[in-house]
Amino acid sequence: MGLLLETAAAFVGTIAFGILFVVPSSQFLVCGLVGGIGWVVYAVTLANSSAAVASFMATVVIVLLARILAVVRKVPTNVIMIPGIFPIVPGIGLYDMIYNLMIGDTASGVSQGLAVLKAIGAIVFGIIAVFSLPNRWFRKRPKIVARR
Amino acid sequence: MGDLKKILKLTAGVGEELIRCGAEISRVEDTMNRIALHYGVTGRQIFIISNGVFVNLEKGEEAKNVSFQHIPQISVDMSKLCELNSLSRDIEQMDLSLDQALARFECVRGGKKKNIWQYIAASGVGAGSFCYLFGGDAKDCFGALLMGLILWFFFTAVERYRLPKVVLHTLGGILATSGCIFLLRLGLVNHLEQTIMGSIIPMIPGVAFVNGIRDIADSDYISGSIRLLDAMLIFICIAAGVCIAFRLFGMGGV
Repeated sequence: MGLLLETAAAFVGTIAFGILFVVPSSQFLVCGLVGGIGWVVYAVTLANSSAAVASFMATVVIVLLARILAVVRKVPTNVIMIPGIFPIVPGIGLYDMIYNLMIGDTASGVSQGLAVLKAIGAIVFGIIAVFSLPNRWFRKRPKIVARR
Repeated sequence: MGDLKKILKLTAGVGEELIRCGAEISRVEDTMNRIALHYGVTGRQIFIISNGVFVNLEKGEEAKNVSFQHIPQISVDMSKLCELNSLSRDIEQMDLSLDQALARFECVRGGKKKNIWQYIAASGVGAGSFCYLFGGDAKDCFGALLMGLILWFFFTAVERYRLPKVVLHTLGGILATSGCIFLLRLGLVNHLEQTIMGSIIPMIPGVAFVNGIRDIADSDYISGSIRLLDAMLIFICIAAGVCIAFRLFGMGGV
């Protein structure tokens, strides 16, 4: 039940970011689905593993879906990927880092900062990994026209 | 206007608009090369960084044309990105004439009338739902939704003063955090951290961050590092705003 509500929140939140980035309304559903699926992957992996692994897995799924769907829908990959990646931003970790550094608890601030850095590093690595796949894997096959 | 001048106007214009609305460098380069080649230039040199476009086109022996464009500010617009993308596809596949393509480009560049309330509502809904993802309860989500609305209303209201990015995001951080502390003292929200994080998330520079990574992955190191620096600067400003607001309300340590 909790996961279902969270996925719904990720779906709605992704579409809201789509509106902020002026994504065409015909792509809202795709953006929302990618955001929701990304969150499901993140939550399921997080339950069995660490935050860094979960961020990496979710990023790979999101960017892979974005690349495939971008070809299908004939839009640039950024249109689907950028809103879709927002749900896995390590927000609470960032907040804790800032807060602890501010109140002078440097030790916890730095250790939380490193955890955040790991999560962000995993996201960066995920994006780079999927974009190093060759372009032709994603290209549509040209239609074969019957000749007489 | 000569033929080459028109080609240059189209190529440089499309490149400029693509960077402005949030495309990665390799796409800009690719699109400009395709357009220039399609209209039959004999020589072309194109150099693009995250805030500038440099083009030199040649046709025949004598005719040369150069264009430098500085692009000081980026305003993300994915609709425009889609339209420019389909314009470049149509130029190749439907063989648009130069004048047709220029007319359609001018139409895309003009853009559409924007409804500001739509963005304010989106910021609120985004803040509310992300607050839930960060583990807030129903009351926190409504608090974040309210602050998201107020934050974007503030951004829209001060847009005409053209404040520097640094000032704008610091003020945004202060506004969101003090609003959340105010709501907490009124007893309208239960968890401060989830509410604050939810309300500042509409300011997070996602496009600059993702494009920076993509540029570095494409080995456009200069543009990539500029964009990542930009994202980092904005993030530090938001964090500074949050800290200033905590101090103003006498919360959090010395």
